[in-house]
Amino acid sequence: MRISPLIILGSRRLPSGVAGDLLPSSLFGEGVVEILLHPCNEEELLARREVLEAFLHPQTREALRGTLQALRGLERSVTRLRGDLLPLERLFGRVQAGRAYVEAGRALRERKDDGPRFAAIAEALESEETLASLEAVLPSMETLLQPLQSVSLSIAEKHWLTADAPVSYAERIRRAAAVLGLEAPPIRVEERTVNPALSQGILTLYAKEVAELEALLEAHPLPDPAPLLELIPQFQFGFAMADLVQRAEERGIPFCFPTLSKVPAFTARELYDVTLLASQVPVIVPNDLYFTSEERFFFLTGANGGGKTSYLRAVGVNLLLCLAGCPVFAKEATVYPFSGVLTHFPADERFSSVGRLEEEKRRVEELLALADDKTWLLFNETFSGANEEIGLSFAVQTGRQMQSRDLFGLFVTHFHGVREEGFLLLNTLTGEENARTYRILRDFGLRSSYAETILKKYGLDEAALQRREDAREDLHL
Amino acid sequence: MKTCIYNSEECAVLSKDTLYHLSVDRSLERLCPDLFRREALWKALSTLSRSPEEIKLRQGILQELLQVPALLSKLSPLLERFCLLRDTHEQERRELMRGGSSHSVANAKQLLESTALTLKRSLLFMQAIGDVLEQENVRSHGLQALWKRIRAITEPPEFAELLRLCTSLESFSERGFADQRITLNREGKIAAVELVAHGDLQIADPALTAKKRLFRRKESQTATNPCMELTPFARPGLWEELLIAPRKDLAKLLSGYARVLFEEFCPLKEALAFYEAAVAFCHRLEEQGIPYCFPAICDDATSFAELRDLYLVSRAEDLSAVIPYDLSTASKTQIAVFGANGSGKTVFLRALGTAQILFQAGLPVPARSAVMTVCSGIFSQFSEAEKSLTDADKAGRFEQEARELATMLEAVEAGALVLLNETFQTTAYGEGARGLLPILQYFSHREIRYLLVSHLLDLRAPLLSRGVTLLQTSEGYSLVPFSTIP
Repeated sequence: MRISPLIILGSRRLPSGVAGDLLPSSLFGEGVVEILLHPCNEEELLARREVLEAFLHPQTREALRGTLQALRGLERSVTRLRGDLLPLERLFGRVQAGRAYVEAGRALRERKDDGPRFAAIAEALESEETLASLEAVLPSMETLLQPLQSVSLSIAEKHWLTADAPVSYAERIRRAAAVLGLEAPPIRVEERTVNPALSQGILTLYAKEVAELEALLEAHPLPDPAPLLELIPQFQFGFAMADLVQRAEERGIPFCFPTLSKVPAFTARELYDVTLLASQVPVIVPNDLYFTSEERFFFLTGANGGGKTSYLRAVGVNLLLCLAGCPVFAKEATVYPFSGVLTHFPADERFSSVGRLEEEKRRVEELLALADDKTWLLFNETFSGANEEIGLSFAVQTGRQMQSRDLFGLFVTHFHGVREEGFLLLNTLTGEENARTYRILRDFGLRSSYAETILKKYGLDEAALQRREDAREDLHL
Repeated sequence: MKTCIYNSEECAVLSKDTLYHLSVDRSLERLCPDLFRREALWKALSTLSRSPEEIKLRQGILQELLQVPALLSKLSPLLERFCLLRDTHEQERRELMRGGSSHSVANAKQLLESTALTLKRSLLFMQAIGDVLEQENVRSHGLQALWKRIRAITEPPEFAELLRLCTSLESFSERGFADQRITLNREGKIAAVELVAHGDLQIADPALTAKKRLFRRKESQTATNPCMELTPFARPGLWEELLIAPRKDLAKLLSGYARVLFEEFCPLKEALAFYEAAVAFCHRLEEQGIPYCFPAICDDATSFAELRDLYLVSRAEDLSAVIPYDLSTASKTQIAVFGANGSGKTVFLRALGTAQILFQAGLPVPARSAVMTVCSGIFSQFSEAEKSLTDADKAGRFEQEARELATMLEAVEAGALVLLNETFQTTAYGEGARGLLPILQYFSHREIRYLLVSHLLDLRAPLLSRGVTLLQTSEGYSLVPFSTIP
C-alpha cells in the first residue's frame, strides 16, 4: 500500500549547530528539530501550512490527537510482536495488532476533511482491501478472545485453573462502599506477565476457541504497518507546533502565518523570541523587524543583558519556523522563502589544535562558503575571543563581506567601533537609570523615558486608573 | 466527598497585615489566653469566609454548641481517637510496605488483616459519631447535615455487609488454599488478580470424579465450568506473586476506603478545634461582661447598636470607659472620618474593621445588635514607619504607601472593604489629597467600600460632592456626620 506523507522533507539540511544555537532542547524533540533543519520550497511550504492549520484548529487538533494515539497503539503492538512472547501472549498480540491497525486506519480515514494531504491518505486507505477484510473479521476475533480473559486459579496442593470467575472480595467491597457514597480510591494495579504454565493452561482450557482464532488470523494476516507508522513523526511535528502556539497564546504572544514576499525581505511587527517560553522568564518583550532588499545586514550593539541575543534568536527561530511552513510568533510578518539560516554562536572552549579566534575565523569562513544570496547569517558575539582591536577588525571585515555579497544577516557584538564604519545599526533601548527594556531600535534617535511621579510609577495616577477600569470593561469583568 | 461544619475554601481575601493593623492579635492574647485555641481562632480569622451560607452555618453551630455543651465534650474525644487511628494506620502501612519484607506472603497477609481492622474501626467510629448526634438531637443546619451524611453511611444494609467483609478479612484464614480470579487485558497480560472467597470457587476434577471420589471441595459435584490441573511451581516466581498481589491489592483497596473516611471526617477535628476556641472566646466575653451578638446578614445595609472596639474592651478594666458606636448606613456607603489627633478616628476604624473580620469568621461581634454585609475581601493600608525599607530600597514613605496601594489594587475586587488610615499624609497634604482622590474614585466605580480616616482636609469637599458619608469626631470621642464643610 502506498500512502502519501503529510510532510515532505526538502533535500537541503542546515548544519546541526543551527538548532543548537537557536532552539532550547526543552522546546522540541529531536524529530521535530530534524524537520525544522530542512527548509522547504514555496510549494511545500504552502502545503505544509494547510496541514498545520488542521493541528492548530482546537477541534481538529483533539481528533488528530486520537489519530496519533491510534498510530502509536499500532506501533506498540507491532513492536511487541517482534519480541519474545509466550504462545498466549502472541495470540493476544496478533489480535491486538489487527485491532490497532483497524483503529489507526479508521482514525486516519475520518480525517479526510482536514485538508488535501489528509484526504489523500484517507483515499489510499479506503481502497485498501486487506484493511477492509480485517475490519470485517475483527469482531469475531474479539468474541473468541473474550473468554480467555477471565479465569480463576486455585493454588493449594494442586494448582487448578478454571473458567469459573466468581465475584471477588474487592468487587463486593466496592459495591457496598458505592452504596454508602464512599468514592472508590484509585488503586494502581501492577501489570504482570503470564508464565509458561499459565499460558499453556489457558490455551488448553479454551482449545476450541484458540483453534478458531488461529484459523481466522491465518486467513486475515496483518497488512504491512510501515506506511502508517511513518506518519507518526509527522503528526508529532504538527502537535509540537500546536503545543507551542498554545503555550505562547497562554502568555499572550500572538502568532500568524507570514505573508510570502516575492522579493527578499523579512519584516515583522511585534516579533517574539518564543524560545524564552522554555526558560520561565516573566515577561517576553516583542520587537519589530525590518530587513528588506535594500537593508539586508545590521550590526546590533548595546547594553549587556539588554536583549540582543534574544532579538537575534527571535529572528533566527521565526525564520526556521517560517521556512518549515510553521506560523511565526508576531502580530504580522512578511517573509521571503529564503533557502535557510546559518548561525555563528560562541562555541565551548574545547579547541585542541587551534585557538578560539582561529576557530571562530574558520567557522565564519565555512558559513560564508555555505551561504548563497538567499541564506540568512546570524552572528552572536563573534570574535569576542580576540582583543578589541583585532576582534573589531574581523567583525568589520565580515560585515563588509556580507554587504558585498548582498547577504541577509544580523551581527550581535560588543565592538562599539562598528558604529563608526557606516554599517546599518540596531541598538538596545535602556530606560531610566539604565533599566533594561529589552527593546531594540534602529540606532538613530534613541528615546529614553523618565518616571513622572511615583504614582505614575505604580500605576496609581488618574490616567492609569482609568486605563485599568477600561481594561476591565473590555474584559466584561 | 466533603462533609463540612467548617469550610475554608471560599475565602475572602484578607491583606497580610490587616489583622496586625487592627490589633486583632493583641486582642486575642487577652480574650483567648490558651495558645492552641488562639491558634485555631487565628487560623479562622486569617481565612475569612465570603459565603453568607458558610457564615450562617458557623453561627448556627456555634450557638448550638454554646447551648448544648455535651455535644463538644462527646464529639471532641471521638474525633481525636479517629484521627489517632488514621495516624496509626499510616504508620503501620508505611512499616509494612517498607523494604523487601513486603514481598513475602506472610507480610501481605498481615497487611490485609491490619487494614481490614482499620476500615472496620473507621466504620464503627461513624456509627459512634452518629449516635452522639442522635442522642443530643442536633438542630443547627451544619450539625444536621453532618448527621445526615453519617446516616447515609451507617443506615443502608451495605454498611453491615462492609463490616462483615472486614471482619472476615480481619482474621483471614484460607486453610492452605489461595483462590484468585485472574483478568487478562487485551494484550494478554495479567491486569488484575483478585482474591475470591474459598467457598465461591467451583472446581470439578474429572480425574477424581472418574475414581468415584470427590475432590475435597464439595462444588466438584455440580461444577460445569472447564477446569484443569496445572503443574505446580514450575517457575515459582509468578505463583508467589499471584499469592501476594491479590492480598496487597485488596489491602490497598481497604486502606483506600479507610483513607476516604479519614479524609472526609478527620478535618472535622480541626473544625471542632475552631468551635472549641470560639466557645471559649464567647465565654470569656461573657465573663468580662462584654455584650456580643451574632450579626444578621443583609445585602444592602449595615447597622450596629453599641459596637465597641475589641482591642479596647479586651484591655478595659471598666467597660463603660469604652465608647460604643451606633451606625446605620447602606452597605455600599463610603465613609470618611476627619477629626483632631487622639479624637477616636482610628478606634472607630478598628472597631468596624475588627467586627467585619469576626463576622466573616463566623464569630460574634462585640455589639448589642448588628446587621452586616459580607465583603469579598478586607484590605487595609495604615500609615506607618518605614520599617520595611532597606539600604537597597531607597523609596520614601510615600513611595512605600503607593507600593502598598498598587499591590492592593491588583487583588481588590468589587464588594471588598478597604480600610485606609491616614494614607498619603507622608507628602504635602495638598499633593496627598490630589493623589488619593482618584484612587478613592476608582474604589467607588468598582463598588469597593472604603472607610478612610484622614487629616487631608482637601478631600472633604470633593468627597462630599460625590456622596461619601463624612464623619467628624467631636467631644467625648463621638462621631457626628456633617453635610457642609465647616
